[in-house]
Amino acid sequence: MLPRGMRQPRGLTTMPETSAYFHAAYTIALGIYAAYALSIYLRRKRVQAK
Amino acid sequence: MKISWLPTLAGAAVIGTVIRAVFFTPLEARQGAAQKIFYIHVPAAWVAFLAFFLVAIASGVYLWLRDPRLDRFAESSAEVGVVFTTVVLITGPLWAKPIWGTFWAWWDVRLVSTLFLWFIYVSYIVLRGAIESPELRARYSAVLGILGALLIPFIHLSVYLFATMHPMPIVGKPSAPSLPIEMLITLMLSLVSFTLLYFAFVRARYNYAAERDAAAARTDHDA
Repeated sequence: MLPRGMRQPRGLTTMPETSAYFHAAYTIALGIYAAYALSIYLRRKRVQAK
Repeated sequence: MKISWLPTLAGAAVIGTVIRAVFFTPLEARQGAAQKIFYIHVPAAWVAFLAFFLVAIASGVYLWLRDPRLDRFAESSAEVGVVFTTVVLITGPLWAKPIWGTFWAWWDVRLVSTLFLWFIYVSYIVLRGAIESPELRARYSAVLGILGALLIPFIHLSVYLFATMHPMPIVGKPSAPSLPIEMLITLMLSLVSFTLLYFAFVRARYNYAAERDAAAARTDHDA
């Protein structure tokens, strides 16, 4: 169901269901950034312990 | 415990941007939720290009001045650039599959040249690990860092020069951006917040490299 006043694009009857791709992309991207931040933190800790 | 302002600000900005993109930015009628991948894919590509451009600048100046701080900055920026390019190469296909019907197309010049860019800077990291002499390592990797960045304008212009599935620019074009204002604001916020994240990563990675080099110098001095 489209919000009031929004026109239905020609040829489409419903908005396509693509949320699985959206969830996968956000989870993987944010996971990569978090893992990288953790890797820098752990490498610094290891060097500081020397 | 001391709290650094840059990572805190960058983390808060990224979380705020994701919340805005997910909950407060309208869905695009033709693509549905998949279009929201735009707000992490485009900033990751922008930051990757910025990172590799700065690698080339720092490397060029290093070859002139031979200051090890420039080499350390180039090393840090290249690694962070590889992380952002990895995000580009994963989120792009996840957006492409529901919209274009395929994860990847080998004939698409922008896809393949971005993959080449990733390989070049992965090889930059491998090269650095393979050379023991700090001066040689810095000099060779500076040359590779400069050559790799030559691919950036080619990737940017590939949509004009070749047949590609990527659209023409919708924001960075001579006329006004063709995005609704809510989407444009979210995109601008995401560009700022992920750029802040880039600087936070590079600063932390640079500090690690400086501590590592200082520890290596102490070890050499003691030996």
